[in-house]
Amino acid sequence: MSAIVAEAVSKTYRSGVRALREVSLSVERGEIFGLLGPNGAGKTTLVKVLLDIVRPSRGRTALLGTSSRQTASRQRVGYLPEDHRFPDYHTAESALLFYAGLSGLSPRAARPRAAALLAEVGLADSTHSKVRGFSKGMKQRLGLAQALIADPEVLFLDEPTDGIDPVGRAHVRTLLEAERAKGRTIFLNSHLLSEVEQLCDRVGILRDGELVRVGTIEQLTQSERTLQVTLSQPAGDALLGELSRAFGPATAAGERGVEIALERDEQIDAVIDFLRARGLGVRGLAQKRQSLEAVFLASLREGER
Amino acid sequence: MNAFLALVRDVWRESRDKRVIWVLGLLGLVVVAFFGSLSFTPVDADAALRRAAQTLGEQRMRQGMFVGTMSRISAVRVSVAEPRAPRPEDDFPLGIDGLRVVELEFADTGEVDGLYVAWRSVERMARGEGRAASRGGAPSEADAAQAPIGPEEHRAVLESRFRAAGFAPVVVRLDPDSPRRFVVGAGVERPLELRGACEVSWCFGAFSTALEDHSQAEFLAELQAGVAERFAGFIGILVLLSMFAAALPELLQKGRFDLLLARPVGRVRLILFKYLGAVLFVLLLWTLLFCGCVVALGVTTGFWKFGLIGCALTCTLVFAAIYPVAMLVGAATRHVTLASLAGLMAWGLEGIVQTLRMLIESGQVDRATRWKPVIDAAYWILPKSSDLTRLNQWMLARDHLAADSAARIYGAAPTVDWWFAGGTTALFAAAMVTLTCLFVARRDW
Repeated sequence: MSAIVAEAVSKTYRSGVRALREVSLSVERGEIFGLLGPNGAGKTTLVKVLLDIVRPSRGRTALLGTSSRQTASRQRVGYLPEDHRFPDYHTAESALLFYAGLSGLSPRAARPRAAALLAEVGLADSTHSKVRGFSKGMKQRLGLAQALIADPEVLFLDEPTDGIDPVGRAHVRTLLEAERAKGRTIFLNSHLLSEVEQLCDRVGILRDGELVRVGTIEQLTQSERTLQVTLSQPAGDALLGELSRAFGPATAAGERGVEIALERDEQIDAVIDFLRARGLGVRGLAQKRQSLEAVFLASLREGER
Repeated sequence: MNAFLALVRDVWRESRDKRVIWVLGLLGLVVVAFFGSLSFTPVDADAALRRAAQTLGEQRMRQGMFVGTMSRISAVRVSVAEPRAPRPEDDFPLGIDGLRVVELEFADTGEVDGLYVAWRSVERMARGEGRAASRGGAPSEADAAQAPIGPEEHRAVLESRFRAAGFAPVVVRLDPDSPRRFVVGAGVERPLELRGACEVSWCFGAFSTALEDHSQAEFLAELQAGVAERFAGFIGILVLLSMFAAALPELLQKGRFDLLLARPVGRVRLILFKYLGAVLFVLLLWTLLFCGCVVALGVTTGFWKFGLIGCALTCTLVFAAIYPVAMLVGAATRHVTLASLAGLMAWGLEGIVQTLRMLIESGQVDRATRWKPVIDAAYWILPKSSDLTRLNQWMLARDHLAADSAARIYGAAPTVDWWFAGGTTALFAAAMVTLTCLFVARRDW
């Protein structure tokens, strides 16, 4: 059973804005799924639909096998919204106890967990301080703690490192990796591609409400038909010309490197044979990878075309 | 249950964070301290009897709960002898506690007739049958036309006048030699209800005054009604309504409501719990205040009367009925000021409707009569805080006074159908809360 399921979800707001178009995805248990997309692509709407904060115009969503329309689906779910606001009359501890109470935990059960979480996010010294005096980074850490207070199986995090300094970001990453190690499913919305690249098992790219790509980082960044070959000696123009004629466009890459755009994967063996027949040693062989950023930008450009 | 308690605690934490609630609490403490500083000193009952005889032509006109000032209802010239103990020749029944006797001689029997007519007019007005006397005016022609007036009517009016002063039982004997002379035997079965027989001091004896026109029981009933109506029922509701009106628009702020909606609590329950949390807070606040007043008074004076605590329920019901209007507007607009104004306007509107209805029914406003169906419909729909306020008055009157005294002074209570008033008020509150819940439940956040 998948932890998160969306089937053909569409959402059109009353204003006429089509925020989601037939989005289908499923996130397995224990997986970290990253959702990428430019501003206004529908990332937050998708999370809100999954949590039943926004009702879909069409389609079906489920969390841990229970329809999102049922409140029970949110029993083991934690959520850190983007631009969240805590009531400023709360202290860090009372805020956590409040949200724990809403998740059905008694103050007695929640108090030790709140203390542990505050220590974990680095707010132990501010346990009894009012939230109104917190910096943005502190509020973000508290937000992370409130998302974790009910010991959720599924975590939705919308820009979790927003407003946090680089040291804090590294801390948050460590925290999320620890949560993954505990088997939690994490659904991450982020603008920070490096963060997504480091943390996520799979990534989806949302463009104008449409899920245009889904896959593991490797699948998305792999440029399947460009072969990078490192030779024993520099390739001359003649060799490049021969390779181009035999297989496809070939270009020099660095001192001894050659990049060949193949039509089929099966051509790799032929390329090696071709080079060896000409007395050239093969020192390295790899399929060329794109950066996630390049993939992301390419996906957006496809949409513009 | 944990979710409910979490929201209730949240409401209380939010309330505690507002300065205005501390000001209200401080004022409440001043009120409690005032009750604790009261003390009463009985004055000679003869003085009360003499004063009752000398003010036969005066009647205190009710103005709401407060009995108001003495108004002359009839010109009476009477000479009053010094009160004395009963004599065998007075022929009064035996066994009346503290019976004192006073002899009256009127200048003219016509003045006793006039007193009788005025008294009847006032009685009819109190029953809502006429309005001449309500303006403190002279008896109407209809009243005067009820002649003939004889010795029995004279005896009845005098008995009533002394009863109104708190004496019980009252026996009036006519002098067989002169129709202008009467011998009145007045018992003191209920000393606390005797008007003019007590001196009150407050601020722990720093100030004192004689209660000439009040009995101690009336004074306490009016004082407590003042706390229930003016402090809790007006200032309190004004402050609390303004304070809690902000709660829902703030809760529904982007980024804050999301944190709640992501929890396993339905939207309807969230709103309902928030509402109940506010109502419970108000109930606790008023219960504490009224209990404080009752305990402070009981400890310092020994008068333990608990009726005031019941007023916490009615004051809370008024809040509970008006607050959902602010909630509904707050949910629809997410604007704190608009929500506050809506609550206050609903409260004002129902006050106006009830006042107009009362004026039309008592015949004091003739021109508005054609609007009566509209006003009646509005009355049926809107909460009935004025009616509930009258319930407070009646509860306090019955707490401090014997049933017949309470009925005589404050009127026979059930001119208002409490079940109808309470039921339709609760229905209004339920309708407003339901609309708010529906609005929040159906909307994307």
